[in-house]
Amino acid sequence: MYNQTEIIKDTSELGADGELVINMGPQHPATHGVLHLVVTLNGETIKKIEPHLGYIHRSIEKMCESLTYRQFIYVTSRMDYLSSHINNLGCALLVEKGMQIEVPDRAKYVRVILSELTRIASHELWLGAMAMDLGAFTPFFYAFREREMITDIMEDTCGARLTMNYIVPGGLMYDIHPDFQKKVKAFITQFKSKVTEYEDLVTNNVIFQSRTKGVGILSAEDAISYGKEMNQSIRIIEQLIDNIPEGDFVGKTKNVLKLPKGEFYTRVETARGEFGVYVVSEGGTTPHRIKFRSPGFSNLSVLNHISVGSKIGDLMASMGTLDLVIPDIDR
Amino acid sequence: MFSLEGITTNVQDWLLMKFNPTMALAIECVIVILLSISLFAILGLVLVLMERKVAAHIQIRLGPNRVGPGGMFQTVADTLKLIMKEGLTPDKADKFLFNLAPFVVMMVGMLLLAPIAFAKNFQIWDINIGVLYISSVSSLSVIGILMAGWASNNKYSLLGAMRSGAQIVSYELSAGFAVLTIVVLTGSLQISEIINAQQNGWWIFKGHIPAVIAFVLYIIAVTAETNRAPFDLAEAESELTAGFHTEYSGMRFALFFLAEYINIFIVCAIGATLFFGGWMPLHIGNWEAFNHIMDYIPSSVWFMGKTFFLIFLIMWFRWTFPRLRVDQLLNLEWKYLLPIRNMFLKEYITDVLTGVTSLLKGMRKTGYYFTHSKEIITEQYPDNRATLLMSDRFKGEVVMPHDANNEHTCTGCTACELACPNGTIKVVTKFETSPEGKKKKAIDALVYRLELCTMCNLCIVACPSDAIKMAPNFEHSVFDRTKLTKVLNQPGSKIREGIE
Repeated sequence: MYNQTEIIKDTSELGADGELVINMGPQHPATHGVLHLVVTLNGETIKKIEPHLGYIHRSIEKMCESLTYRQFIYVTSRMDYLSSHINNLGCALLVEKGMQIEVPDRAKYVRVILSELTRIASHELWLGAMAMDLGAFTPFFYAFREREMITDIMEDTCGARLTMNYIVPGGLMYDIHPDFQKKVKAFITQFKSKVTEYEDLVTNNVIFQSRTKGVGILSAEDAISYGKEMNQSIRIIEQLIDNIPEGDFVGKTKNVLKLPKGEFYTRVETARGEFGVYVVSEGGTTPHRIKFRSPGFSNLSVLNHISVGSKIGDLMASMGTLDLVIPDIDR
Repeated sequence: MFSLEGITTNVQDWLLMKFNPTMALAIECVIVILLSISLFAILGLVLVLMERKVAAHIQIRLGPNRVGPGGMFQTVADTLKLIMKEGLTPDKADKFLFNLAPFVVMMVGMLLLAPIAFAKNFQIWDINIGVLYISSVSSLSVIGILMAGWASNNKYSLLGAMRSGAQIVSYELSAGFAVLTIVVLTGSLQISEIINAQQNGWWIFKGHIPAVIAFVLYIIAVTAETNRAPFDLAEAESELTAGFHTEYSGMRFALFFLAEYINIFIVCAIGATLFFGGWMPLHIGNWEAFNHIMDYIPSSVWFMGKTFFLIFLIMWFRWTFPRLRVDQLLNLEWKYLLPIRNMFLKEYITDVLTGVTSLLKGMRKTGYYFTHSKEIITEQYPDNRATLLMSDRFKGEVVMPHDANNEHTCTGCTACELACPNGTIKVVTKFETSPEGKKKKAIDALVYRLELCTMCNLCIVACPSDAIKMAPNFEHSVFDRTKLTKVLNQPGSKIREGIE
């Protein structure tokens, strides 16, 4: 009726020591997109992880070479779409640095507040997705309830919920919404009252702790620092929100932006690490060569290092804490 | 007073009157089989809906509410869909075992129905070794799962099946010990004897600390045995996609799904029987009047009430806790549920206490949301169109405002076209001759391709005469893609006087 040995043969790709090679992704519930990991297993224990990239490569860097210094900013929203404000900010800072554009104080304040809000929104999503990777579905919905308040604030002011393109070289595209301060304060109150909820459900939960403690060198620290980072962001916003100065929201810029000849680099701290923009200019209206240093790519490279020797379940925990955004890795 | 009591004896008497004993027995068997199959179907539909509703309310959602009143027929619709779907068998699978596995899992569920007393004197088979029968038959379900995992010829399935094997075999021990506590207290293995022994108080109240500990052990162990979260390692959606039933589709998947819920019902029914007195009403000491009132509630209602309470408890666990890792799962069983490790008592007690406290805190939170339906934040989109608040700045599409005289302010300067990063806007210009005979550049058509637009707002900023703006429209879906290419200036429109 059937031949058992034949089945084993077909299942194979068995390694030399009876290792099992499985493809996690591109379509896998825990990779949050289209990350492709080739995982070598011995039973449940991980021997090796090899990330395969290129599934959603859009050649963004090449694309930017044909866009002007005003236009290329919107593309960066499509890289790390969870911290698009901060990516836009990095690019705008580069142009301002290269051309010595003066940015009004009002724009600076709003930029910081929006960046911190973006950071909180990103971490809310991380919290929900991390809990989901570990098998708890419910915290996702609670985290999204607060994240929704932030996206509503963004929608009011920037007109979009995810890919804002609100920060332009010299300042902001248009002024903030009249309700902006009121809504941000309402969010801060709501967020503070709900933080204990996350602690009860996720960070203080004995199963969550035992799933994350000692898993990879980085993950335990991350689990703590994320929570602190959200509180710090709230503190920064609290300090700024009442003191937004009156005045212009955009500085004086020329109609056509031309970066002087040379090399330029700026960096900003996004929700998941350092984001750098490197531009080589030949003096024209478009960059000659552009390179993004995206945090997700560097974070991914540590995955093999921290996961070897742990279990499949740990891989999900490690991947969750690295907070990978695939379009950021695969530009 | 409605009661199932006596129905069984009446039916048997009638059958014996009409037929000879062998024939009567055969007919009884057929009736029992039909009844249990229909019970399966009904339970599956009810429990799946219940789970979805419980999950939704815990997660501040509404849950299914479209098919039938309050979404009552959602699971019926889902089942119909699954029946009509093609049941795929992977090419290199072991076809015989692959097709057999769901039925093995189902059969175990059916066999376990036999000794359960659904109401007073309403029991298929009151076997005298009832408890032993239950614990031996329930361990057979692992065979079906291993069969499915092995025969699928899929690595995820195999991993899931292996996990499930280790898990079910280990947790059988704790479940067995918990059940034995009640056997010792009662002095009998027979289900009806165990229920009768709880006439003047259920074991959970009467059995003091041993019975309470046994109940906690039992509820943890059966959650693990039925592969439910936080012990759903065999399926582990985020790790193994769907575990042992990754390759199953259509009705065979539905059988696995149904079997999971039947198993939950059965373990909860057994739990209710052992610890909460099965169909036995709540009796308190010598409160004669109270006991008499309690007796008026039908025994089947008592049984179902207790069972569904336990089912709710297990669902509550699932929607609160993260999943354990495979080694932690076995640690929990061998080091905490069966403390045979050489461990200091103090360390053991602190571990258990801190763990349980943190879990209870989480359950209190989810319990709060389950009971407070005003926290639900679901927006029912197509229904709330009238009250939907869209931000006036929302970037939905580019439009060109026209005034009452069908006039716009676009001069055709092509600034928007130059500002656009990806060629969404195309300005077609023409030359108009003014009455004085002067030639003037004007707009013929402003072609806007919505399918390309990234809503970056650069065109709006670039426009020197504020001729275009973003509109908060978002319902753009069309069946014909060409409809997304729009001409923004209205036919017959012209530029307003005085705009240069």
